[in-house]
Amino acid sequence: MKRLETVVRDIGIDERDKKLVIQTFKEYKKLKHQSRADSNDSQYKEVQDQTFFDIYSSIYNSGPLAEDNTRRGLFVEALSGVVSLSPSTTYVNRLKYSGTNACIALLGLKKEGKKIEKDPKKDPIPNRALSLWANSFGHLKHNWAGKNMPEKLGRYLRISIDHLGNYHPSHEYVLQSISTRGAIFGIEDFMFDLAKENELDEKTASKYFTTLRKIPIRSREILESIRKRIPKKNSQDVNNCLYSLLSKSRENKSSISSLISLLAHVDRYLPDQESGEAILSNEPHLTSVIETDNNAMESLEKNTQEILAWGNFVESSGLLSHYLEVAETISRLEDDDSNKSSYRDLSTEIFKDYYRRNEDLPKHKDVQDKCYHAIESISSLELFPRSLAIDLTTSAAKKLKRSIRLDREEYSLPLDSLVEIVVNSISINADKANDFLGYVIKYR
Amino acid sequence: MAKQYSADPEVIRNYAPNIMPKIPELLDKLEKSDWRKALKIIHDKHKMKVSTAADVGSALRNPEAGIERFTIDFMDFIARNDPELNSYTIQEISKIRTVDCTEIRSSLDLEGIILDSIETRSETFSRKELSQLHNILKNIYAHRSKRASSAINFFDQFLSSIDNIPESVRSKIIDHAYEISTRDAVPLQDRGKLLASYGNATERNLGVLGERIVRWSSDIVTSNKSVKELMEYFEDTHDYFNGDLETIAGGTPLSQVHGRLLAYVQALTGENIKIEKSETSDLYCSFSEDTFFLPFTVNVGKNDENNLQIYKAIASYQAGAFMFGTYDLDISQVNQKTAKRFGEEGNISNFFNSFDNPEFSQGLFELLEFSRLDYRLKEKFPGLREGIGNLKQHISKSKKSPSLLDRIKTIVCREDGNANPINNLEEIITPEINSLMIGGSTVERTVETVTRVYEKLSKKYNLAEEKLEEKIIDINVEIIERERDKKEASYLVAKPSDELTLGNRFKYDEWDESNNSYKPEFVQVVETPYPEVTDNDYVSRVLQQDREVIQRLRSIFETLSPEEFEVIKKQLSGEVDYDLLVGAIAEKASGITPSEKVYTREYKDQRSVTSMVLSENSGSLRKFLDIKNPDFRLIDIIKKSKIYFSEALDAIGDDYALAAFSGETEKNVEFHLLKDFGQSYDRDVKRNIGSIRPLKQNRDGAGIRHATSLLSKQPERLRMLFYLMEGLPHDFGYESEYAIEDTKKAIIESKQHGCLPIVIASGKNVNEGIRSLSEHCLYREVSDPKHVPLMLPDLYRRIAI
Repeated sequence: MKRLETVVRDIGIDERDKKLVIQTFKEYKKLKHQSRADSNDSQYKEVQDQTFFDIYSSIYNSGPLAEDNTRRGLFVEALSGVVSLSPSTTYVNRLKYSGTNACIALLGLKKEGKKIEKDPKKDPIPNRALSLWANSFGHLKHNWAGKNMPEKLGRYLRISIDHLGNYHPSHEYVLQSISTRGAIFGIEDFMFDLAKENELDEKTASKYFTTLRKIPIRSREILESIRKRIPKKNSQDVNNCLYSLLSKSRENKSSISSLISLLAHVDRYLPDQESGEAILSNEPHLTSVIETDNNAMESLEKNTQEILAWGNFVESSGLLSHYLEVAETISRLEDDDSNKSSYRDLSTEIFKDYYRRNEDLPKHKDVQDKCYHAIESISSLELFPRSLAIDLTTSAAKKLKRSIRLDREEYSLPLDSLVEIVVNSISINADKANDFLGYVIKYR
Repeated sequence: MAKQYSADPEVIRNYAPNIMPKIPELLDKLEKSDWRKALKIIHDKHKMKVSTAADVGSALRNPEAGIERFTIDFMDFIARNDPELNSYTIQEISKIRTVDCTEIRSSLDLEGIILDSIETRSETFSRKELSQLHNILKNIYAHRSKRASSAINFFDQFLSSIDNIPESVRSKIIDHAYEISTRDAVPLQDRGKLLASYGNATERNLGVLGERIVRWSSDIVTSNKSVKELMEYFEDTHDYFNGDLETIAGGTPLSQVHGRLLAYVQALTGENIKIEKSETSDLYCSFSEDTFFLPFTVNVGKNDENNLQIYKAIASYQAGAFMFGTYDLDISQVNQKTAKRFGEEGNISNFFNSFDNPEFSQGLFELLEFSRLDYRLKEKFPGLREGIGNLKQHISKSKKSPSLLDRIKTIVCREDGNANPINNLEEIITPEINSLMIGGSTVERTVETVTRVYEKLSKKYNLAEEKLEEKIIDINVEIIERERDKKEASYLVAKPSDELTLGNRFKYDEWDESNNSYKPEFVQVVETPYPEVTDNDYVSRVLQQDREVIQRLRSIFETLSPEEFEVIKKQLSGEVDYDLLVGAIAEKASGITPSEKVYTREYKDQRSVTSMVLSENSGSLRKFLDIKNPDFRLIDIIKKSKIYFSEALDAIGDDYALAAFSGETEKNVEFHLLKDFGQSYDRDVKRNIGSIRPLKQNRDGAGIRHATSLLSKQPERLRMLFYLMEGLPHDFGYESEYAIEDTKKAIIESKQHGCLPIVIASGKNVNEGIRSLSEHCLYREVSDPKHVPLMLPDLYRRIAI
């Protein structure tokens, strides 16, 4: 094996790039590689290294790179970044989204060594963008230290090819943000899509970037999986809707992870073709909840999941939006957050009481009215009796099984009726009501 | 080791749908501590069920319906009642039932029984009494026995008895029952039965003993009788301990005057009426089947004789009901306004129910009818006045807060019925009573008066809740209904039936007096067997009852029998006539050729007689013949007449026929041959006679014409048609002069056809029209129909023999 300096010289690397290329090759040689059982490990490694050098020189010396020192520099810089980030040779030269492939694609080269476009004006990706991309590896390296590096690198390379290969000027702002402000791992696609779809300028893109960066890491994958299943026709609207909700959440300090979980429930329980519509149609309710009750989302997420699961069971369309409409109304109440949370729980249970079987499904409006009536009667009580009513009703809802409450036709006791009993009793004699009702619920 | 049950919140939650909706109503009805006890009752009841079902899981999933029912009832009960009663109720239920494995008895709804007991009796029973009742329940069911449920039934029986015990003695009786239920000598499984028997006997004897029942009961409790003896005593007190009861009751016991009363009642009614003790000592007589029920004892008079007079007075009113037509209500005699109230069925129950308060209207009827009977009795039997006076004086004793009917009763019972009214009520009642107090006043007038009085009273009083606490005469409405039913088939039928009877049909002319011409073939007579003939012993009963008369009748006819035979002497054959033979021998000896005619022969008389006894069979024959004897009516006269006639002619051997007719309209006059010519007086004929009953209308002309037709075909020379006639001919479109004239024509035709019509008209309704028949036939008028049966063979004998 020749010395690396010799190799570098032999393959015609400029003096200017030489240092970085040698460093790249050195690091490449250190990379782990996949051995074959039937071949000598060291021999195979040598062949592989040689191949990498050959490809490297071939790209470096051919097409527009040969005549464009800037691009050569970007190539050297990018591949150095790739190699330095790669945990094994695989991510440099074998995968579809390997660093080399990415470089070839982005620099306008073909894998087979075909000529690249000589006219820079026809070049699909401006050097400025490529430079930002190449620089991003450095920032990425800093931010990515940690586990799952291979997957992360692979995904970033894929995103690079997908989005830069389909270049839009707004991408530059995205890349700029990434390269200068660090990774937004997991939601780069979302950022690129938003930028392109809305043709964001630098300032707006920056704002978007800031918003998206607030998405907790664990929620980003969920968000992307939601986006993936949205039919193309809704895609742009849904992206904007999602961004809007995220943005409002951020502004109002509402739980973004709960919001995304809620949306994930919508995505999971509704058919693909309906989930996008559902997200769009319920945006006003959700926005209103976020804006008026920034603590609501956590309980609303849990309740929404129950309602969706229930709605799925009884095959009742429109259940979600009617429920969220009630939730929105509750959020607007002037009451303690904890009380409002109880009202939402109560409404959820009332919905579940009435949507129990596919046959004889009630009118949505009627069930909403029952919720409103129940909440109104509780909230009309003074402070102490109100909390007593909430306590008794909540306990009853938890402890009295639905099957027992409702399965006896003659003595059916849905929660709204129970609320009425509780409120009536409290109005008559709060102390005794607490005792009488509480004793039935908590009998010891 | 006993298993301990711990509180299980799931149990109570299980019944939450039944409990919680009631809570707003219950808050003011219970103290907190009582609420916990109430829930514990439900909890324990459920556990009790679970422990017996040995399946907690399934019991939770499928709560026992009975427990659920109880829970609902329990909550409703609490909601209805005040805290004090609720607290008491919870205490009582808790007392009787505790969940403790060592004491699990059964899953019976004892809690429900306590609830029911308190619900029903809390206003009338003291707490002490109620608690004692529940202690009794505990005593009789507190054992692990399969008979637990029957013990509950016995307790129920006991409760229904105790409910009828007056307040003044009830507490003592309950205490005695408690003592019985705790007697060591009584096996647990027998306690319930013994208790029920005790309750039953107490209730039964109460009517006789009144408040002295306590003494009787106390004697029982302290006696040393065995269980078996007690049971027998309770179940058959009258026979076993009659003397005891009479001694305790005091006064004049019925048994002391039974014989004299029986003779009196039978004489008064002319019927074989029985007398039994009633179960109360209330001063009135009820009637059922053939029995008068009179008070077990009468203890209101000064002495036994005085009491006997009262007994007689009581019985007289019931007898009066028979004598003066109470049970013979004829709606056709009632004014239209009142008749409407009887409905299409003509039912007296309908009449009572047609008023807002049927109970009040019936009470009013009984009071007004009492008033009418009172007058009629005193009018006919002045000797009864003293007894009646004493009785009325006693029953009209004023109560503390008399009901409206009680006040009317007082007016009715006043001996000075014509007194000037002094208040509104009297202004209404007195004139109405006076209107009934006239000779010949009928029950029909009474029902009309009821209608009038009710309407007047309802304008001034709220009659809705009024009722009569104590009767002074018990008029058996069922008997009135029964009489109505009998009438249904007869003249009470409002419209003629269009149905034609199956049978041979014959057309006859009918005389139209107004046109002085016949309506040709206007009437259709259908000859048909007597309807609904059943096996009966009527004839044999009559033969038995009237055996002396009938034997005499037969012997008379039998003595007539030889006269029909004629001994003809000097015949060529036959029996030797010794007188002639001696003469012939003497002639021969003297050389004279003797006659060969030395024989005699018997030849039957050549009387050529046949007859038919024809009777109309109209509904009016159901009328009483004698008010004192309601079971003997005009129809019985017809039947007896045919029997007497048959017996007589059977003795002599003459041929005859028996026939009856009835029908509706000219299209359907049914003619029944009860006995045809040539037919022997056999079992079938007797069944037919026994089955005769009032049927429909009587179109006499048609009946006589068909009888004539049959009779005139007989070969005998003398053909007698005996026609038993009761009142005027009557059918739809066939009445008054038209009917009389047609009947007269039919009789004339009969005569023209070679028959000898003989009309026997009986009863009080014979008028000049009927009498005018006498111009054309042999006519006998009998004011007392009882004479008809004997008159018939007598006429036959006179005419035919």
